[in-house]
Amino acid sequence: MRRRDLMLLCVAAIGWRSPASALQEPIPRIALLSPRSDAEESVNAFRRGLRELGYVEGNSILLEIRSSRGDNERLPGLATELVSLKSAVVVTNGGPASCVTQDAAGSIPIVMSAVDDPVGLGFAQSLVHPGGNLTGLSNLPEGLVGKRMEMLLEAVPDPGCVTGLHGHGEQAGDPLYWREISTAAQTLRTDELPTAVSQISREHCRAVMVMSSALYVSARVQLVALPARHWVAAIYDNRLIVDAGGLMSYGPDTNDMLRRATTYVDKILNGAKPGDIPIEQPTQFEMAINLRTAKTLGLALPPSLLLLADEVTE
Amino acid sequence: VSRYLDINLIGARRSADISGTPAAVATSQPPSGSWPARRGLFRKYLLLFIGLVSAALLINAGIEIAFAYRENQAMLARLQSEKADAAAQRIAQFIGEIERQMGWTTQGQWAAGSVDQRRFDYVRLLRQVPAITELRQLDAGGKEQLKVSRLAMDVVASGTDFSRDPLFSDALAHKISFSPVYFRNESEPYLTIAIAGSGRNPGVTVADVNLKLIWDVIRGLQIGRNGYAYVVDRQGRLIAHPDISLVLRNTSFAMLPQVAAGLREMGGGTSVPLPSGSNTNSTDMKNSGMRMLSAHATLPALGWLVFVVVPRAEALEPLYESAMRTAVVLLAGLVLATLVALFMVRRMVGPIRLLQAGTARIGAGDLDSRIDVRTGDELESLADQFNTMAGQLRQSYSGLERKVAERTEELHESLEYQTAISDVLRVMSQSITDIAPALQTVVEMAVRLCHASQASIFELENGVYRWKVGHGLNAAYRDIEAGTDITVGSDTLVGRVAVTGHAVHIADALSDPCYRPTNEARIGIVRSMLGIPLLREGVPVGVITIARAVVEPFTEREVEMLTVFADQAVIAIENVRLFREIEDKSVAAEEASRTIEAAYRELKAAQANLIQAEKMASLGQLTAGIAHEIKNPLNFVNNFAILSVELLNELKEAAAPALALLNNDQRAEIGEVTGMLTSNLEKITEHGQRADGIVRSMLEHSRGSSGERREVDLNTLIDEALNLAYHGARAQDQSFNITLERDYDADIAPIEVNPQDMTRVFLNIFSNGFYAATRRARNGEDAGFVPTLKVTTRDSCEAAEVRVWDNGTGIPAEIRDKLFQPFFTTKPTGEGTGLGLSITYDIVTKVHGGSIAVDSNVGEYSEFTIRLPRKP
Repeated sequence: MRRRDLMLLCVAAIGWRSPASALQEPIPRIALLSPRSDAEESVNAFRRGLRELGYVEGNSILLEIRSSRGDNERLPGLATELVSLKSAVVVTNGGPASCVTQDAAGSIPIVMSAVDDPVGLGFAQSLVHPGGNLTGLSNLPEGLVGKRMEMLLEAVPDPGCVTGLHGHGEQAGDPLYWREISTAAQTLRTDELPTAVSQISREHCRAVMVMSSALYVSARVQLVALPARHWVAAIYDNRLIVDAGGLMSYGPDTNDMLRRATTYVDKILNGAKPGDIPIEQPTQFEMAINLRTAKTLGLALPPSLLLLADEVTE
Repeated sequence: VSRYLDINLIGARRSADISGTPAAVATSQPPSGSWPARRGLFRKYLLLFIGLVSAALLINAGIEIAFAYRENQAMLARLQSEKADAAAQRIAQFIGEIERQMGWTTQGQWAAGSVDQRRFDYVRLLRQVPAITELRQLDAGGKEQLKVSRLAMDVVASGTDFSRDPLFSDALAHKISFSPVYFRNESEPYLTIAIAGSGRNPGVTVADVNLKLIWDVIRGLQIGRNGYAYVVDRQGRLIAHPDISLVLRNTSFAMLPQVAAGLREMGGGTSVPLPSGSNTNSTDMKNSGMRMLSAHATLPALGWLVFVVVPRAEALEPLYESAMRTAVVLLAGLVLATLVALFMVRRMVGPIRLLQAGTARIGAGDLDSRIDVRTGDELESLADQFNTMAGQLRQSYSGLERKVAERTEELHESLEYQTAISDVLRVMSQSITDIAPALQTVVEMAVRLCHASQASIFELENGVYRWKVGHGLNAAYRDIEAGTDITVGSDTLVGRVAVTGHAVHIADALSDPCYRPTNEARIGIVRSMLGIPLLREGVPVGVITIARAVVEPFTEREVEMLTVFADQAVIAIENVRLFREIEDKSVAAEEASRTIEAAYRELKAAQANLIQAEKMASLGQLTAGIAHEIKNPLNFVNNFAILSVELLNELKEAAAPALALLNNDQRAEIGEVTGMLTSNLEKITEHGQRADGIVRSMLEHSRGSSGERREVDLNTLIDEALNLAYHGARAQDQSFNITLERDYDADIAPIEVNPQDMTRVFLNIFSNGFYAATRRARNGEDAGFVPTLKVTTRDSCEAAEVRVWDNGTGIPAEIRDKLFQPFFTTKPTGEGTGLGLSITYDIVTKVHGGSIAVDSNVGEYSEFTIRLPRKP
């Protein structure tokens, strides 16, 4: 072989590689729809999850984040906007956001999180095999209402009565929730928070269960203020409310759920069909207690309750 | 070497031709065949060197890689097993930790504690072990005493009976029991652990463990870069996997070969303490198109298998790296080997090339060049030998050169000689009839080639030799030579040659004692002389001589040459002689052939005539026979017809009185009948006589000539016949008219013929002509047509010729042959007998020995030509 031929071969071998690297795929766009106003912490958890999987925002992935700031009326518009951005995947937080996104998205894959009953709500055919374009992380099907009730009663051994609070328009969406609470305690319904709480107070209920609601998380400052003003003990499902001054909370770690949702995003970006990825249920629950609030309310919490708490705010 | 010598010779010859200096040869190119040979050696050695080194390196590298591969494989298997063991260890730790945490709640005295205390402890346990979702305390009878859950409200002393639960009994029997893996809410993998308490009447603590928490353990295992671990239960169902979806989907890996193998192995039931050592070598598995290496370890207590898989490519990476290293070293070695080989081969081939170039130079004729090789080895001695050889070659070369020059000179001479001979031959061939140019060329060539001053040829004529041609003679000497008849005798060169019949050489004419005409020799300035006889069949016919103005005897070679010229001269003379003879003979032969040809033609004509005559004669005999046979009955008919007329007249006279007695009608009737009879008889007579005439003419035809012959003037005879025919035709047909043209040869001599017969001949021919011309006129020719008949007579000494030409209808070619046959006629029946021309033919040919010919063109003319010989 002559020298020139050898050189040609080398050039050919080098040239061979270059087209593959020159071929650039478009950077996938990920949309996140959250109903919460202070999405920061959960969004950070989501970003952390992406980083752990090796994605670099702006480089290997684009992120579009929209928040309804607690106003469920705004969700459909935001969902449509995110879909029109040609997102590869839409990640949703909570039942309402998932619902409106499903309406808007068509066939775009949706990764939901913290949805109470995906099968009952029609998001999936089954947990193992969702079948549609929705998958993600659900809350526990049976809910934690009983456990929370137990905790609430432990904190307030003599509440008079126990009532429940839920967000406007969420009743229809969470039938299970109501079934559970009806078996657990007397059921009271209200829409307007202040009137509800004052009514609770008037009815001498010293304990209230605030149901999982993005609305309440968004409005948590007012929320925690109301029970405290009326000397009512409340248990929430989200630790954030306890941080803001709520008495207790028990529930799955929603931020961690969003972090875990990134693994679904990763799988879908790698070509998996959302209908084939099983919906995951939470395994870890956290309990938070605000001792200061307890003190304000004049409650002495038993050690067994404190033992359960993952986080105790002094 | 021989090839080079050949080339050298040719080169030398060429150089001698062109410049005569051998130095010119040195510039010629070396033979083109030398380049491939040099290349071949260079390439051969280079390839051999590189090949050897490459082979050594390759074999070395190959062995190294092979060993490395095997070692790597073994190490890999070991490593994999260790990883699998480690993974199993971690899983065992995970479960063991749960067991340990649960352990203290199973003691007898603990079970007897207060509910609140027990609940508190359980809550603490839940707090410490996140994987446990639910805890139950069963008393010795299997009744549930306490249930604490993360998800549901706690239950105290529900009393639910678990005594039938196999887990419970198994735990009592074995202290600890694990349930099979099961799935809660479709997708959550769970394991239930039951631990029996110690002491009397022990209770059982049952814990529901969410196995998803093993995920953290599995994920925590770092197995290579892309490797991972997974766990399956004894059914092959997936318990833990980095991709949790697979676990949630309740996937079975029992179909995977390595899992199947692992399960079989575990089914064998070797109870190895937990965790068991790995005992499976790495096996390949295909996972999403990637080849994987896997190893496993068992957890017998749980009946689980822990698998560790690593992508094959990753596992083999060290091997590839070492192979790459080897390849780089190999490449470097090859490059180095190539460079060294190039250097060495160059060192070796360089002197050889010098040697080759030197030998090529010597081969090309540069014998002065020397090969300069200073290697101090065999090559140098070879070069020295070549130098020596070149020197020897140079010595022998000079002798060779001289010989070549001589030979070339000879060749040149012989070429010139050949040219001279061919010139002579050429001149000879150009002048066949004249001898002088050829002989002139011969003498010219003889002078030139024999380096003589003059040459002459003498020819023998009537016993004396006469000078014919010469070259280089001065005028005076030529006059003497031309005017002298040389006789045979030894006093002259020519005479002496004639006497001896051989070549005669006179070294010096002036000092030769017998040579007489010394004065003439002085005039002619001849000293050395040479004469060669021109011999034809051994007999001298002439002499060729050459002479020089100085005394310089002729060489043997010159004598030979002149002999050849003498032969040439003889050939030239002989050629001319023969040519003339042939020419004469061919003229005679031509004449003879002409005579023969004429005779042959006459013979042919006579033969044709004879045949025709014979045919006519036989026809004539036939005709005569028929005529003779017809004549007798015809005579009867004629005679009795005449007699009957007479008898009828007699009857009329005799019956006249009787007739008178009859009435008019009867009389008239009888008269009419007799009249008719008479007329019938007259018709019989008339036609009988006509038949008689025909028969007579037939007889005449056969009878031949009867009358005597006499000499007549043919013109007169013809003119009479013409008039007779014309008036005869006018007599028959008043409207007949024709133009007659006469062209008589007035000098025609009287000819002896039978006048009566000839008159008949002419009458026949004329009447035919009239008939044809008239018929053409009547057949609707235009008004301008004039029927013409033209008679021409001509006389030659042997015969008289008469031509009768008419512009009638003409005679078609197909009937011309039949024209002279008896009874052939073209006229309507009754107008001709068909005998006229037949008789004419007989008369002309048989009686007069002449001939008659017909020429005609249908629609234009007919011409009869009659030749009458004077002496039949």
